[in-house]
Amino acid sequence: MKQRISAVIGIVLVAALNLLPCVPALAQNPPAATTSPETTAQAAAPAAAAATGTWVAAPAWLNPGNNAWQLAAATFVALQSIPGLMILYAGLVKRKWAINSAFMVMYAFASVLVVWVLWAYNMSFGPKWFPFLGQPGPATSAGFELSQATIPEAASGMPDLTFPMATMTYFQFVFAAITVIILGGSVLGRMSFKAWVLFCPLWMTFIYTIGCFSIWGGGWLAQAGAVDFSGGYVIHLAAGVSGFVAAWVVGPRLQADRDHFPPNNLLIALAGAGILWLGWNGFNGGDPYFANADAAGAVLNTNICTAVALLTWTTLDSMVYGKPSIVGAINGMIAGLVGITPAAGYVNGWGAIIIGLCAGIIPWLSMNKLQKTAFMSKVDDTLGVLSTHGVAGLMGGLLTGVLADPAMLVYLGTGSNAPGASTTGWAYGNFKQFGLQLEAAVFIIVVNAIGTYVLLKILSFFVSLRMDDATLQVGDTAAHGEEAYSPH
Amino acid sequence: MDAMPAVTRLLPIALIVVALGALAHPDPVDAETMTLRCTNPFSGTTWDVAIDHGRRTADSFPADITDKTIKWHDATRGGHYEFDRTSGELTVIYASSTGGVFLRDNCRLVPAAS
Repeated sequence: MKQRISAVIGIVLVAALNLLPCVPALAQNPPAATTSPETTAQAAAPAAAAATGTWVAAPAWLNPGNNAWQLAAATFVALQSIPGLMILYAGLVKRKWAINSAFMVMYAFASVLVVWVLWAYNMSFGPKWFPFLGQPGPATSAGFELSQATIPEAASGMPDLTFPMATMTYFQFVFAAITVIILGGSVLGRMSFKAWVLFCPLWMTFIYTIGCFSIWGGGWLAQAGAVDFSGGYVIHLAAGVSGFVAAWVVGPRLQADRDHFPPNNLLIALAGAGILWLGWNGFNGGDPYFANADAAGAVLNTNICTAVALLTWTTLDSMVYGKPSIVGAINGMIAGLVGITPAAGYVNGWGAIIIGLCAGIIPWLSMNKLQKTAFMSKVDDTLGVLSTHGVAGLMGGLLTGVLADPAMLVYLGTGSNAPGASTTGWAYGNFKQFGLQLEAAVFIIVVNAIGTYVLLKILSFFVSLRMDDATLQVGDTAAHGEEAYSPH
Repeated sequence: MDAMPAVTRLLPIALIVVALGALAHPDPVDAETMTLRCTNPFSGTTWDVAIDHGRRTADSFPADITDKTIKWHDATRGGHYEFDRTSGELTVIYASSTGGVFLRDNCRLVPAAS
């Protein structure tokens, strides 16, 4: 009976979400006035050729190099989720949860894409509805997909974009998807799949969009001057905080699983980690939206920071536990990748090294000391997402406010915009930036902590958030009728 | 002594005093309208912003004008402007896809006509 009620409620929720786009303006067309690709293409065609008929590959505003890089960067980030995090999670968890963990990633990726194009993209990057949220609306029409990309509320601080809205929508989708997937790392090994099915689209709709619009969509934090180059706050701090709250509300794994949870396949986990590292070249390198010098700087800084953090974490493991651990190295790598994310295109190479050192130490302390205190260990954060993503993202965001080098120009500027778009940190004389970063962090933490808590509590009225103990004992076979490794 | 002649003698003096006072203090309407002349320190580009103290606007946009700062938001092109009267620094914040973008220029208030 409860299953039927849950199913009905699920259908109602999905139907309600589908109605949401109808509430405010239906943003089927691009928000800012842009020239239609057809018109531009016609204008670009030589008049003489037009008389005899010809084809033009792309409208005049489209730069093939920038479009190619943006699509490639988006694909790199997508690969971080599937198969990157899919096999990283599947390899790191206990054998009986490999399928469930991988499936949670795959489901999240698919469900977020549907929500994203139907309403959430425009809630995150569309015209302003509230200072912290854009107007919901679909991103599906031909006119929308093929028009020149723009973020209407954030257009004043960047050059005109040279790729289509379809590229923009997909690029931003892969970030949205990986956020929920990272969050899922906190609840592996016990969250009900049915609850996960409902949670992903709802969290995307009501929580992610707020932080995203506020910082990236031209919302109030961007207008105030807070920065987040690639998602230290929008993605990692949000996922870390929401994941920790979700782990608390859902409840812990079986005690036997908490006591004994050996990775079932470290080589698979390492393959996932490698995809994650190199995929980050697209994660951070794609955010200038141009294949420009700052994109290259962001890629190099990302790798510098990651290497330093991995080495620092491994050194600490060796000093404290007597031997280096490959799981520790993966955590150090992730902390480095996350730590540099809000800063990648704003700091120079020295800044990246400093952030790498901090990312190897502070999240290590958080995971190995703070999360092991009696109070914190009451919350079963399966993969330590709070430390490797939440703490690392927060640390990176604050350090951006300190180490941002004004000579790292994201875009060049002329005239009154000279020398270009950049951010100046405390170390370069601008204390105010640190304050702005702190303000943004508090907002993201509060929105995610309260929002996720309320969302899960409401969901718990309709569906059990945690699998029953019998299913938890068995694992994948009970939950999905499948298992990762054939016994035969 | 007759009082009327004294008034007659004092009247021209009073008029002169009033006239001098008026010359010393420009027309209040003119004083309320000033120009913020700005220079970008990197490119040397200069431009003007019309400040109207009476209407409390900057380039026709509503402005928050105090003894220390003049702040306004350009609703057409985007951008939040803050002029520090003490340092002469104009800070411009634009929103971008990675958050805020800062630009800093040097400005000074000059009479509107100059």
